[in-house]
Amino acid sequence: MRTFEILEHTADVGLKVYGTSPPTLFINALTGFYELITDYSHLTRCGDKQKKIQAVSIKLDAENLEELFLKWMRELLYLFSAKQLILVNVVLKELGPERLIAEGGAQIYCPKQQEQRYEIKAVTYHSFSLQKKHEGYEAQVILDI
Amino acid sequence: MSEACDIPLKKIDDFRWEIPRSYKKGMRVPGLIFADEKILPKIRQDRSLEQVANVAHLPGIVGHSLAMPDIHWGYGFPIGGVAATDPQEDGVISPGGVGYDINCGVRLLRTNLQVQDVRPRLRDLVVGLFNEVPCGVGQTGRWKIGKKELRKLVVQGAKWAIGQGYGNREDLDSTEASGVLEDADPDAVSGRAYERGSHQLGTLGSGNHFLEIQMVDDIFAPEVAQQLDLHEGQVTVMIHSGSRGFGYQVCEDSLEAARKSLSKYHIVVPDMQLACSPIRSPEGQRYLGAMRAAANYAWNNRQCLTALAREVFEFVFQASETDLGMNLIYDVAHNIAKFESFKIDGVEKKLCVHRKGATRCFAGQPVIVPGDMGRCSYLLVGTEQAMDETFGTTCHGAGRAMSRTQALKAAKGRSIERELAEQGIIVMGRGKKGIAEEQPAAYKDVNDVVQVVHGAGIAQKVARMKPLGVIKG
Repeated sequence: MRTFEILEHTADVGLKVYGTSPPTLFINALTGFYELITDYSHLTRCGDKQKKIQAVSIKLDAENLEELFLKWMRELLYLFSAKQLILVNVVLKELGPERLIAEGGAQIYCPKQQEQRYEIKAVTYHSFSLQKKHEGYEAQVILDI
Repeated sequence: MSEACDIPLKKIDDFRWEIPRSYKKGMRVPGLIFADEKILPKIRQDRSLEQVANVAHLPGIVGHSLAMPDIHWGYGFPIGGVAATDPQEDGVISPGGVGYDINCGVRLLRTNLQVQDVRPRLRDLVVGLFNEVPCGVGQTGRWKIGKKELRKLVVQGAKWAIGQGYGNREDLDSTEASGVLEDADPDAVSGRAYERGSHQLGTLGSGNHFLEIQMVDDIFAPEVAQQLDLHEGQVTVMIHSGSRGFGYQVCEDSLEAARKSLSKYHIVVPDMQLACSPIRSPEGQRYLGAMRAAANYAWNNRQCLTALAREVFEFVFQASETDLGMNLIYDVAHNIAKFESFKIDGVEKKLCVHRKGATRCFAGQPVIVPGDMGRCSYLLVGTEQAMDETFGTTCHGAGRAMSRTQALKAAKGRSIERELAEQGIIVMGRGKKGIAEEQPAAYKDVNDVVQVVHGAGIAQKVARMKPLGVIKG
């Protein structure tokens, strides 16, 4: 099954994310988000032996799955923008419509060593959707760059 | 992802088009679009005119929902949209009417250098700027500032940077609002915003932000140019950046609060991204306090970027910034909301003017309008006409003509850097993709935009600048 697609947008960039279940949808959103910033598949495939991996745990509460998804994306943005952290090996310990608990590692992004793609500045509400379809879940989100 | 717009427009004259109130139920004022026959079809390519009509629904809006000729689709408000609201009439403040990059803006520095002085050293200058001015993804600045100091910075505005030695008093005199919005509230800013802002001061960012070395290519108003000490062939420096992650976080935090306040104050808007709060409500006051803090952060950011640019010029020419005459001509904000007084039907009123992708142009004030990295940029001056008609506001730039994907397709098999180098323009960016996405053809022609505001009398052309060297994030 498809994981994510990058959507065309005049000034910014969009992500269409797919998942057979909410956890796969959220993990694919994470991958798509980081792929917009850098070569994430290279980073997770090859790793960087020199880089220290620090433990990260995230707990988010929301009123529904849509809000939880946006909070998840905004958490990833905050960790990158404020602390230059990129999450790796993330496991969703809990994912209900109102709560997310994730654990994993994080590497500090180094712009001199890692590819620079887009600087994502905000996760917008525009055209946001999260739907359960026959074949699974689909979400669409526009990111301000 | 965008669709064309076929709103019926009433032509008023060659530069003005109206969206009548009857177009959409709930419009409190008509829409007024500054455009000519050439630019209008491009405006109709997205949904920005519908957004002008949506903005006309805001409680307390005065006069018109305005649109500048560089209008294009934005989140809630169009980019190039202007709305003034009256606090005495339950007027609202809308975070979407300012945008994510609070006090994104442009500044222009003059120099004593002529193009022939700079040409032989151009590559050294561009490389020097590229090395010294942090730009691109995840780049941190020279300054690491703790929360305690940041709280002072966001209250003091650009005076903070001047106090640290990154500029002079005259810089403040040549900055809109003297580089500070009073009544910034550091307590209204979230911890996350402080964290995002702690290492991004003096960084350019990415996307359409840039630092450009230019030459004055044409003078249209010799008297004004002389007052500003500008002449043909002279080298100038233009800086385009904003409040970085600090402002984005303030906007994100405030949108959420504004959305929640809609039902509390019984406000109905046609698009949730126009979420707003009454100016006099606690939510409105909180946003205003945080927005002012972000605006003050942005002025410090551009002031620190200026200090970096001056250092590089000093090093390359082995001369002091005073000898180089690197004075600030002006600094304008183009994403902001401010309280300003205007005469409405003969009565003076203090209004909250939202300018989202639009520039203040009070009579006699310099206005800076960046174009793209291949064509040109403009220096304009504000007019009385703008004071009467647009709450002292004019355009802010060119606006994109292509999506990033389209631009990449158009650049396939080409080197935009080489093409620009053949025109004598040196461009350095983080990665070829960014330069391809920001190529000149990806933007509308700023000449067309400026022609409209000049023709309509809501700004007057002073000088045109051509790029010589550009650094992009």
